[in-house]
Amino acid sequence: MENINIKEAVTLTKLSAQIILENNGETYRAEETVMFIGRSLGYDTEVISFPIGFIITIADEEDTINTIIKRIKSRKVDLGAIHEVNDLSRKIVDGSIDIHEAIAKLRELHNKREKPSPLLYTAASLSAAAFSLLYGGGLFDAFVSAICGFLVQYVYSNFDVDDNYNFAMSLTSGAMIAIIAILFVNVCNLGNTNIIITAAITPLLPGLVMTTAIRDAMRGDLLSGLARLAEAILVAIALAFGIGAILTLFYSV
Amino acid sequence: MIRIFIISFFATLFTSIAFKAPNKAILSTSFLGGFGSIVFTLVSKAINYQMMSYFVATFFITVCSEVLARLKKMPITVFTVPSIFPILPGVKIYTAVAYLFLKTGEASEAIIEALLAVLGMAMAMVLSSLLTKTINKIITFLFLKTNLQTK
Repeated sequence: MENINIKEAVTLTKLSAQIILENNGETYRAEETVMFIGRSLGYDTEVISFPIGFIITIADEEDTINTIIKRIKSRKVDLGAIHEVNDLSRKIVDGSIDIHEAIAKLRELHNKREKPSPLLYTAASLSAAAFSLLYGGGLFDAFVSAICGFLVQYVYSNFDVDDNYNFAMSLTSGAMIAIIAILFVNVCNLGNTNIIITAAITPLLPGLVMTTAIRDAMRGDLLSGLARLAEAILVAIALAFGIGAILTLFYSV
Repeated sequence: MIRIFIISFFATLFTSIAFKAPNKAILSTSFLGGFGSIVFTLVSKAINYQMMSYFVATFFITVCSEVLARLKKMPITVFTVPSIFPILPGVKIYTAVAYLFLKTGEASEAIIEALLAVLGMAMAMVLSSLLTKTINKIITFLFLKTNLQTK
């Protein structure tokens, strides 16, 4: 195909796999993207990917072998990024985009540290409010759930969540939600604590991670499936611990 | 019924915005979430077995999101993840955990209910994924006359 430098091919594949895995994408998706891109550029590509990192090897005809290893330190939830990488890889394989432009776009996607917009906060609080209505709550429950949703989104956006703090974040979120729910319900004597707590933790439940775990296990990558399942269970347990601690404190004092 | 559709519609809408889904997918995901919630309510009124309603609703949602993903050329999780949030057994999981801490003797029933619900959803995703792969294979075999191998 075109005369692409092997270094550029390595950068391209590394960035695509990194962005997919950093946003809780499936490992089979990262592997397939890398293989498509590498093969369409005319190189011999091999890749192994795990939820915590990947290894890519690219070789060309003169037997220059380049291997790159990357460890993924933290994962976040961003459905749009996976779609962008998918789109870009389709265009690269079709040849309808310039390689340098693709690399620039991928870098921009990776370094995107956008400030959390007001839209994000609004959406988070309103989704918690909608869930409380779904569970049979009234307007007061919706209002308190919205406050909880806003605070949780604020904490998640402004603290750099590394893998080390994943457990602690879930714990503190659970505790915070329980404290706010109990406070508001007992000061204003309206509403139902259970509904508010359930509605506020629903966006924190590991929905994306569970879906990715199942889809990876179906494609044969049981390692990834089991690892993400363990992460989902840990997050649920941490949330439970946070809420349970506050509830026990409150109801037995 | 209409009330459930509208609330699930908005819940899915705001969840997909909070998850930064691409703009073109947000409206269809919200409709899918609303319809999924309606399927869930209908099945739970018709059959007395909770796990079946989780299974059928999740199956419906995953099959529809596969179709939508091929139509719009987007990855499947964009449609699936926000749509299953209204169905996720939040109350069951919270009850299981709350009973674990406060009424430990009666916690086992609640835990098993929560576990069955999550298992039902997982099985539905697995089955629908398998179904799509098989249908793909059959279609390529019929129309392109390639070999019917399981690779």
